[in-house]
Amino acid sequence: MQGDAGATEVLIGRVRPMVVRYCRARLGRVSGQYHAADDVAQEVCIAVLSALPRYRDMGRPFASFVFGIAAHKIADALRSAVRTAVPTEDLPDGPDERPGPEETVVRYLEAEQARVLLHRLPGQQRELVLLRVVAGLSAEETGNVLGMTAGAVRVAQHRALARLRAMAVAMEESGR
Amino acid sequence: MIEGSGDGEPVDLRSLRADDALLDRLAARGPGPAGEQDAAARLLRALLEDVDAADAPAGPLSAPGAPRPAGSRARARSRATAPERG
Repeated sequence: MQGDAGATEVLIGRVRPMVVRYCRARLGRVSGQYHAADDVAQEVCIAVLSALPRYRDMGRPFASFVFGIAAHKIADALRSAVRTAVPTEDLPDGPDERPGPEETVVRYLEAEQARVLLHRLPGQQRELVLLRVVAGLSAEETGNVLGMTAGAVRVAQHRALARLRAMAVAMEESGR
Repeated sequence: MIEGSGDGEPVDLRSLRADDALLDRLAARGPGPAGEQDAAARLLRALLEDVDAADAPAGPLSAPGAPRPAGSRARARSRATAPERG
């Protein structure tokens, strides 16, 4: 990869969408926007590029290299979020072509509920659900990131979903 | 039934495989059944729609915090809080 700008561009083009979504799912919105999470995703991509010359294929999926870096950057961001001002954006200057307000609000609320419930899971279960679903990693790739076997990932994700279901039902019932 | 990973509780193999397939479908952004009954699947699908729907940053990599493209949402200001997520 070193010195091959075209290959690097292709690589980052493939990695970046997964990293952006993963950072958004982990960090959530600030003042209704994902810009802080997107900035962390940028940092991850830059760190991946910087680390590429040192990367050696040891038989592990490349995704475990990328999301290992992402996990550290997100931990740094969460630590600094409590003490650092985060830039957020003001009202839009032009027309907004996103879905209408009602649809947006419903989706936003459901997504927030998902985040609240995921936050109540044990850290490892939360992490593996996000890696499997949001980042789109296989059980094997997720296991490589988290230092687990694929079988252990499948059992843990099964337990995580069972907890999520129970909490979601309880949340629905308490909201009635 | 098989033994779970570490805590010794038995796990139903069929539902374990069903959950694995569910996560694969969600990851592939496959459409859910009409009137999705699985509350966890509904919430995860909503989270996916939310993180997928917001515009992904475009263009070449730039330093974090660098000015964003002019136009829709160019004005920025500081806020002192950010939600802590796990």
